[in-house]
Amino acid sequence: MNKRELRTILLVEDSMADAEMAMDALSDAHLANPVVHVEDGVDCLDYLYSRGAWATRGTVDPAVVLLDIKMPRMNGFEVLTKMRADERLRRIPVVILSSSREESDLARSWDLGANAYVIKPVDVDQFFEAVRTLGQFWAVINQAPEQG
Amino acid sequence: MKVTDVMRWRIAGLLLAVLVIVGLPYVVTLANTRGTRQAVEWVIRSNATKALTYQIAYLTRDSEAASYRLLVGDGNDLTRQRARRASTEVPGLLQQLRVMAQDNPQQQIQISALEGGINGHLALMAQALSRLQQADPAGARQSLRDAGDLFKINAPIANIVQNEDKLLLDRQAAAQRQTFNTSTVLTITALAQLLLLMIIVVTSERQIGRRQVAETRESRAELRSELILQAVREPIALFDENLRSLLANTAFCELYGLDPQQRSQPLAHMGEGAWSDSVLLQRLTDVLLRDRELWDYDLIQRTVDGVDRHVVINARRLQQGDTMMPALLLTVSDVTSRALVEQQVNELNRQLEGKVTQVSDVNRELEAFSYSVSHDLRAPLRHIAGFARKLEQHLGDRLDDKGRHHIEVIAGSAQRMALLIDDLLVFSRLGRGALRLQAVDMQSLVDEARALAESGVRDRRIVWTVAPLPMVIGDENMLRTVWQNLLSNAVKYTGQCEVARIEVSVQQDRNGDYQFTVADNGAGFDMQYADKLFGVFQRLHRPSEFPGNGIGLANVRRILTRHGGRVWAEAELGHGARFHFSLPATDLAGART
Repeated sequence: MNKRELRTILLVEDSMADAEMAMDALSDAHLANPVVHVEDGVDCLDYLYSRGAWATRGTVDPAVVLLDIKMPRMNGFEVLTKMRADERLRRIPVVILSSSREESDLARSWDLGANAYVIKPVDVDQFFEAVRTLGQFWAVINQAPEQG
Repeated sequence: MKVTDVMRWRIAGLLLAVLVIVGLPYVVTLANTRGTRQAVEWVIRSNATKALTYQIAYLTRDSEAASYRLLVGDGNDLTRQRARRASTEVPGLLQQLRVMAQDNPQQQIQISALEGGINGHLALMAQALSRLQQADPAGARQSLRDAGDLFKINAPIANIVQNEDKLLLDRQAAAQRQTFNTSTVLTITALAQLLLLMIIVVTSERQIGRRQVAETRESRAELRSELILQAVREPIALFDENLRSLLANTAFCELYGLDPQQRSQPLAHMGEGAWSDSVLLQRLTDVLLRDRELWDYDLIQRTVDGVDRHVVINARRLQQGDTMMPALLLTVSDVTSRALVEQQVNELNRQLEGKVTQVSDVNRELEAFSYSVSHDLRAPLRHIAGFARKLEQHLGDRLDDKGRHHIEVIAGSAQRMALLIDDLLVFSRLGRGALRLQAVDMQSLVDEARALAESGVRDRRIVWTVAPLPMVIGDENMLRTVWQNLLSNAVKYTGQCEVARIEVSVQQDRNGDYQFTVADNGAGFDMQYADKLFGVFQRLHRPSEFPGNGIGLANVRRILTRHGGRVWAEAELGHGARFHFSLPATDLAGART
């Protein structure tokens, strides 16, 4: 079991500042799982399908995808739609991590099959707490089905 | 069906009556005439019979008398001739008498008796004459005496005459009886005729009366329809098959400047060219010739008053009652004002559509703006706060108190701006989203809001007075926001009271509109600034007195406006405030969701 490659936490975030804060928060959580940061939806799918820049990464799915909504090229909703439509990717947990607290964004995320929706708090402490908890929950506490 | 039956029976009855009236008297009179003629005949015959009988008697007596004169020698040739005359003439007369009475057996018997007597008489008289010639006067006298003694002829003659008289009497009586019967029948017939004639007269009188009433009614109806036609404000006219006027009502005459008395004017010349539209004239001719109705033909006509009128023409073919010639009924509807109104309505609609498009454009822009605000505006604030913290950590011991304070202000301001953005987004959403109307229990909303308001405070004495509240129609979430704002305000602004009194009540006005009131005994406010109370981010108190960012009452006003209600407040500085809001009456039963 320990021999097996540890699943990654995939952070999909176009804002470098947000990404840096999130990485800080995750490293605060002292997780064993590596954190991988990609900058938009296209990159995210490349990673999930191990293609393009990620062709050599192997085929292990991430433990969780922390997905921003508003991104250039391909946004979070499009990524989520494609993942849920794909037999291989549909079971990967996806947590929407967004600045928006608009009802329409929440509803759409849940409708598309997100596993959680977390609003990024402006308050630094709250933000750190939120991201740390997320990482711990999805990487450690949550049990995902064996990869098929 | 029934009517023709009745008619047929009536005709049959009438024919029968005529037959009775004319036929019966004829038959009766005919029979009567025949009877009279027979009676006359009978009298003549009786008289003739009697005359013949007397003649036979006379001839016989005369010959007898002549024979007696010859016997006494007082005779000449003429006397001799007289004496022989009876024997030559009487047998023929007797034969005649027998023929005349051949239908009467009783007379035949008497005639036979007479004949026997006469023949005996004549034979003895002949014997007497021959005895006289042979110069035997005594023998001759004896023969004559024998004739008188042996063959008496008086009795049969009297019998015959008597019989004939009796017969005549009988026949006269019969004839009288018949005459009486006849006159009775004639009287009855006359009475029947009289009766029938009376019935006919009465019936026909009644028929005539009825017809007169019907005619009066008809002429009255005609007059009435004429009056109606003239009074109708729509121009109506009737034209013959050459499109010449037969009839035009006042409205038609006025509109096209016609003399109401003048008939038979061609349509094409009316109203100074108002009817010169060749297509219309063709269509009207079609109506006349081919019985095609003309429906709502639109036309702009310049009428004699020089106004361009928008009219709608309708026409159909009629049969003229007396001649069966086709006629054209033409009606004109002046829809100028209607058309104008329609045009205005269309224009207004167009403007309204433009406005709606503008509004929805604005709404779309607002939506895009909100989206951008919620996604993009918050992130930099987070970064400011986040990196201020990183800076603080990075500097560590090198950071003095002043530097730490600056970083705190930076982080706090970012935090506060994020809250303001959140409030603005809520406010904006309240104006945009659709109302989800349903039955809402105000009582439970108040209970909920009260619990929430109290949960934020400790060590306070608050006396609540909540009246029973009704069900209303509205958006439950929005109305919840209203109560939460009003009640939390009431709790907040009574913070400095020893005992806070908060009262929730409701009134219903005559229209069924509800007016809710939240009254408190708190800080109140200066009515001078009341108009600022419901503005966005407007505050009447300093944050150091009462915290808050001034969005709550703006939300309340926006929600109530969207529900068709309103909100207002009255207060006195230091003596509490009363917030009222109204909701229009709604049909609860019809709006269950």
